[in-house]
Amino acid sequence: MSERHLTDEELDRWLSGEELDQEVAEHAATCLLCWHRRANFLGAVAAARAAEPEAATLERWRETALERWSGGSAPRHRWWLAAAAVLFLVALLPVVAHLRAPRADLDAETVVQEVDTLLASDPLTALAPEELLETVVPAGGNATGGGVS
Amino acid sequence: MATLARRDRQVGEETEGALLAAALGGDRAAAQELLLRHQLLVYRVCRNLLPRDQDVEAVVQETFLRALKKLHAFAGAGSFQSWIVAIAVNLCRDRLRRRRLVPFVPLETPDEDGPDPISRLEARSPDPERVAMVRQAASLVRREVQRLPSRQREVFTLRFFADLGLEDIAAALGVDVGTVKTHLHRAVHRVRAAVEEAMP
Ligand SMILES: [Zn+2]
Repeated sequence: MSERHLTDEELDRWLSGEELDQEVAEHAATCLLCWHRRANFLGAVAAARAAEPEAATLERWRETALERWSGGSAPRHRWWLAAAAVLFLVALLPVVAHLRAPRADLDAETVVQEVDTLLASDPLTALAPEELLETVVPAGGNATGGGVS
Repeated sequence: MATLARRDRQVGEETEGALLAAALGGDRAAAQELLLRHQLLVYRVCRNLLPRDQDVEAVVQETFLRALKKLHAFAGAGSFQSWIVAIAVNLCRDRLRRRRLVPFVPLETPDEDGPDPISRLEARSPDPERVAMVRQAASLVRREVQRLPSRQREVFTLRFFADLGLEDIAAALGVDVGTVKTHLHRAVHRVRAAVEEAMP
């Protein structure tokens, strides 16, 4: 066994949890002084650790996280969603009723009759203004003579 | 003997794997068991990295929640323990950055928690002089840990306050073991020098 005590560097490696060379490890295992230095460090570090929590504290925190994860608050959200949906539909009712009501100022029969009359007289002028038709298909001109200039 | 130990480890891994799979499927009991297994470790990491009690509570809960929400991203890469510690460390960094706090290990342990280590030592040791010496050394340890560069402080905390091995620390911090050793050596050197000043 080496009679040499551990150097600071070797002690730091030992404290860090690393393996020591065999000769150094053998010395460390049997030397009271080196053990004392190690024990002082580990004792002070252990004393510096923050206190452990109460079991109930961790349980409360864990349950809060689980609640948020598993959507424990989801039914409450769904209730609000449902309420919002109902309110939205109620607000929409007058609009829907208005759209579905027959237009009193429009007589379908009359409109159909007017369209029929127009088509019977001149099917093209019924669908486009006369000026446009004059440009595209000049009256008396050759309809096959060319395109739009 | 080695075979038995290996088999035990495999069973342990399978059990955690089964828990992970069940939790991924939305099983609350499995998720609860996963948290139960790692909650003290997460607490130790956060408690020793964050100075404010309310931050500790918020970050521990956020770590739990984020671990469960991101389970699909874990997908068995490495150990779940390292993964959840990585989440905790990252959230602690964020919290410190946001608050622009100088992190430190609190000088006085809070009353609402269980008995602090010094009280336990007082209860055990009949030597008041020794207790006083350890108390002073502990105070110096906290002061030195507070003064360490951030990465050294994290490595020191994970090693000595959360009891993680070098490889687990490396996995949690996303660095190689050599880097962990380098940071740990430097941190231990400084903290040990302070301890030996108080306890020659
Ligand atoms: Zn020695």
